[in-house]
Amino acid sequence: MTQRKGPIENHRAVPWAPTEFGLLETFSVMTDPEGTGYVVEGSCPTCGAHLKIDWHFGNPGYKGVTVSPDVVRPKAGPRTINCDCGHDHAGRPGSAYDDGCGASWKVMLP
Amino acid sequence: MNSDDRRWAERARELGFNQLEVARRQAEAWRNGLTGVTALLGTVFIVKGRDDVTELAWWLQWWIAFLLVVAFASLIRAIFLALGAAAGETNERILLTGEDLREWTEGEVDRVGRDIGAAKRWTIAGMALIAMALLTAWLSPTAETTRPMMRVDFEGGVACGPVTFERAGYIGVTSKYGSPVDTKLWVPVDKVSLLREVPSCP
Repeated sequence: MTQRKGPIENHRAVPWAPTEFGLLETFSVMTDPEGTGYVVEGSCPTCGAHLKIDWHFGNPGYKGVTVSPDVVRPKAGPRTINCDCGHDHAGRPGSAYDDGCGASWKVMLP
Repeated sequence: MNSDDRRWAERARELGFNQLEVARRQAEAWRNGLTGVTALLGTVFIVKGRDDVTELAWWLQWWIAFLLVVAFASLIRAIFLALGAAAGETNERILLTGEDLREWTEGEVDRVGRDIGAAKRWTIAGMALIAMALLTAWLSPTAETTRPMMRVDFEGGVACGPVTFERAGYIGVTSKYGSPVDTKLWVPVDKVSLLREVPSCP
């Protein structure tokens, strides 16, 4: 999963706080033009950062000898996104595993 | 909540994310163990009894060969199951989201556990079959060879093998004695021109 930060003018420097928003309809989930994954785009509901996220297919933990990969088609349903805007947010603990404002939400994968 | 409780809770949370690595390490240990146990079979042959089964009756030879073939297939199956559990069965690529990774990881942990269990059962089965084959080879009596081999010349040709006189007026000759295709030939006594003992039959 790769996140690309949006224009900085969208961003609000709110303090870091773990916040869950449930399913957000404001995010678009589109198939990648090259057919190699999905592109998710929208604004963080807490800090307002514009986020464009590339979801690719990848190897989760195979150590075997065959090299030709079998792509597992994902089931439709909600998927979780953490805000990873990359900006400093006051109060973010060192143990936080995200790089954003602490917000998380779900988008619907078609 | 005291500090120990928090620490245990944190360790449990971390373990949830590392469960596949834990399962893979267990599978690697089992794979190495099963390979070692299989290699140990070689040691058994040091304390061996009979290693030439050609003296046994033909059906015992075939029985031992069957046991060894099935045992070999069982051990190969066990090793491949253990290898698949340790390294992953297929080269799958999943959509890298939290939900997809979690579902794949849980399925993979279940599969590793199942495959290691199956590998253990196949190994035990393979070793049991080898033990059965060895015991059969060691403990079975040799084929009946006390009856003398006789060459019988008669009008229709020549036959060779142990002979019987069960039917009045006939000599029974078991040709190709000891092989799966032995056949008993009944030769009328008045057609026999020569009957003599030979050390072996062709």
